[in-house]
Amino acid sequence: MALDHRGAGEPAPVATFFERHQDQLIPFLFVLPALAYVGYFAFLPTYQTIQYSFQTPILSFTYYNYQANVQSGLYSWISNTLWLTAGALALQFGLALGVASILNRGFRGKTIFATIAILPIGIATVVAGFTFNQIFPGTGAGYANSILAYFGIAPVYWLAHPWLALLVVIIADSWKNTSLVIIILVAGYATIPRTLYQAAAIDGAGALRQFVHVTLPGLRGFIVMALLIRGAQEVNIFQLAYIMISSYPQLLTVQIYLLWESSGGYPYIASAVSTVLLGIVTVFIVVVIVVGGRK
Amino acid sequence: MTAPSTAAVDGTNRAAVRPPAPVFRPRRFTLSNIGLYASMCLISLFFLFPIYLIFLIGFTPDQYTLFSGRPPIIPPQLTWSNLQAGLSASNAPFLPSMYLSLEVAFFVGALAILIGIPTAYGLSRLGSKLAYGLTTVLFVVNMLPSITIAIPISVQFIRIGLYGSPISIGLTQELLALPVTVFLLVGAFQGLPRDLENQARVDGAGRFRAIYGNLVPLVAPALAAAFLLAWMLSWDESTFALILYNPATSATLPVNIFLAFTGRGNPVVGVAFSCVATIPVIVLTVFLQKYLKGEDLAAGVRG
Amino acid sequence: MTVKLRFDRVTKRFGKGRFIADDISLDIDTGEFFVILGPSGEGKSTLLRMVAGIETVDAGRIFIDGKEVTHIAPNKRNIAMVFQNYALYPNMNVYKNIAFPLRMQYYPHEEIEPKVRDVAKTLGITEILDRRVNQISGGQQQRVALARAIVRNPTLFLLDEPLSNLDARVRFAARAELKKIQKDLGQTFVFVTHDQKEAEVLSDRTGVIHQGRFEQVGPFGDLYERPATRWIGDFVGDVPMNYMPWTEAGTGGQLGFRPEWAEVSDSGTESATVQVSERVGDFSYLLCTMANGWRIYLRTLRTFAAGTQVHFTVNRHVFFETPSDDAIPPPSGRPERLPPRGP
Repeated sequence: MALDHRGAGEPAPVATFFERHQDQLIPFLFVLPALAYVGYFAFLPTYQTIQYSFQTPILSFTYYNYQANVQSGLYSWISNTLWLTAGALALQFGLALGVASILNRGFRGKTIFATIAILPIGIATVVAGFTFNQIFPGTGAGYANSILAYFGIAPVYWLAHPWLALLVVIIADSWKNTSLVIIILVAGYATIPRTLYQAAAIDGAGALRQFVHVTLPGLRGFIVMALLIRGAQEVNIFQLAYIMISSYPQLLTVQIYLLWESSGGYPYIASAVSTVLLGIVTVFIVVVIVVGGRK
Repeated sequence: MTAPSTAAVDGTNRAAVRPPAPVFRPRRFTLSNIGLYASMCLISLFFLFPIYLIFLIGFTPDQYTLFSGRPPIIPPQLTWSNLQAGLSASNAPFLPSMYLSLEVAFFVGALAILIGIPTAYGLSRLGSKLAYGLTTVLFVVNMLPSITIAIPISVQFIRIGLYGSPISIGLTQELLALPVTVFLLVGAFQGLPRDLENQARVDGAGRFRAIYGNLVPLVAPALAAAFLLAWMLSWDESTFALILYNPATSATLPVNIFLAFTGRGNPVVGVAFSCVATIPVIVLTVFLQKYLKGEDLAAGVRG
Repeated sequence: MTVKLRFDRVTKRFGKGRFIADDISLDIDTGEFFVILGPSGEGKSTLLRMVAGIETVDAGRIFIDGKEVTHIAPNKRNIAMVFQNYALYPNMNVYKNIAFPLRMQYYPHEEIEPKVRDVAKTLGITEILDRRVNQISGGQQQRVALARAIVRNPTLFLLDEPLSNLDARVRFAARAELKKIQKDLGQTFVFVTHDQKEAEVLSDRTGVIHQGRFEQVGPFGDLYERPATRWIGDFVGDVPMNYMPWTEAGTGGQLGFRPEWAEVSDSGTESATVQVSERVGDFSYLLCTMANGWRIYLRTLRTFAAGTQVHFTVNRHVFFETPSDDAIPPPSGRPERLPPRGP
């Protein structure tokens, strides 16, 4: 029958730490390769960039790089980048919310519309950049002006003013990247049960209030995630901007590239701007996570 | 039989007073429906127009496109000459470039699966706090500026002598592919029945056999989608490829296109490359659309 | 009788200071059909999974056939397990599912085939051998899972509520089949369930788990007739046991009796007032209050209306010692540990 050691005095043989936790430790081993890869290819270079930013060929710690960049106009580069980011995110999320909410209903032709909505993912960024450059060139030609001419409107020089130039980049960038936000939001919509809308409708909420009180809260986690992903990518916008507007107005990434290209293999000056960019991305991530609140 | 009773809990007879029809089911030709279709058409136009332009510019003589003061939306003439010129350009030979792009893309896709499977398996078995933390780490990686990372990596690779090789480009681009891959695969693994792996182990399978023989075949659709996504990410990627390319050897397609349009090459070459580079991806995107439906992704998000 | 499975002070914690398995020691004999019975979530599945090797053990040891297996990988323990949802491999057909354990042991194909067909015949599933597992009924799935377990001739069978997912009708037949299979094989079965009927029909011995400990172990009849604690008395049986304060041989405590142990007759020594009468089959179960306020259930073939007086005599009872100042029965949660004095 049963053996009863209870109260016998000697403690039961205890398993080792590894034995007790092997159902957690072994899966962790499986994750280790990815972590090692990421550590070497992402975090190490990041650390090195920050290191480089404080170095020159002669000195091992100095603010020289930062000072030089400030003199070249670092602050305006930062402000241009931030304005671009804000505008692009606003346009992308507005558009994506609209498309996702349309896709949330069932209707004929939904699959075709969905496919069209994510086609831009497949177009290479540089190709998109070149194409939109043909739509919005600085020369007064271009397809946008062709369409305007059809309505009798005079041609626009799209790159004449900094804000106009940023605007066309925003449009181009949103064309390419709204699809990703759409995908995330569609996934989010799928998790909101229909019954919530029905309950709200019965409670007298019209379409707008249903959107505010049912949709937005339900999408919250997804919006946060999309903001994090796209926001960081937005600040890092490079090819698209460079092809379309070259370095007027100057953006951080473009400057980094130009500084690197012209420095003959010395990464120091470029690294300073790189570090600034890194700082902005970090601040952005922290802000979104904190404001986005509990997941 | 009388009409079904709508007597409310409070006992009043509500049959005479119907609540307003819920807004979420519009009838056929209401205002909201017309608005729906109209906005759909507008948005579709917005998305399709540039793609149309890509091929328009590719197949129209350049006096009507690149060098025209008022380029027409409908081309008056079509031609193969752009493609011919571009594909036979001597300063940026097409075939080595495409070959390099293909090499790198397949490498990135394969590596994504190779590293992604054990990582996703591990994450799906870890406690939720640890898994969440590690997933966050992977996500943060995605948000680091490519330019910031590329420069030190480039310095390293020059030293090792791997500068410009498909391996170095691919290894770096993997940073973009891995988080999405893991995201997809973790969702897939978590969708599997809980005791399947346990059953295989009790039945005599070692851990690797249980994972690769029993679990992995069941997540095959997610694997295919992850591979496709990683492949496409690499095919499109231009920042790492730009910083890491060796002018002595060839560059990937996007880099050549970039150079063509930023003054260091012939725009016609860029146009031709663009057309060719775009076609496979459109096909793949259509394939991907079938998989990227809400439910599959939401699983990964909740994870 | 040799000991097939031994738990030696097996302990597993979860959270802070709480135990899924609290210093459990138990021997299960070879050829025995042992049922681990208990409410949901109180550790019976975890205990089974520790034997299988898919849950870790924090302290203590587990022995199979005299060999310690506590931390050995599950694929090296030569045991078979059937899960509640059968865990059939969806990407393989029935034949390949059953053959899987043999393939893991590297049996050549020529040896696998006759073994699989043999087992399939025993379980009556030969016709579905080439079907996909999502195309067969629940009952058939259960038999495939069993076949997969049997075919490898393990030293021990572990079954985790394998009948819970079946329809009531199918479950009835499957229960009897399972018992027969075990007897024919002569193997040791450790079977986990929350269903008393299964324990009653299937087990040679039943161990009742409560809050991480075996509260009582023995043939099911013992659990019913001679519950070791109040909690067992309440848990086992269709109708709750009755309790009232009692003194026996000078010690204060509680008397417990099942409704069928009291005879309702006009010459009964005790009396109570009927509150509710409930018919189950031929019997009426009467919920009554006694003069001292105690509520009890009585069972009788006669009919009584609410409000009437009944008289009854307690023919058999079980005595539980309680702390002397504990006149009011505690909620069933803290077991009293002393063995009952039977009739």
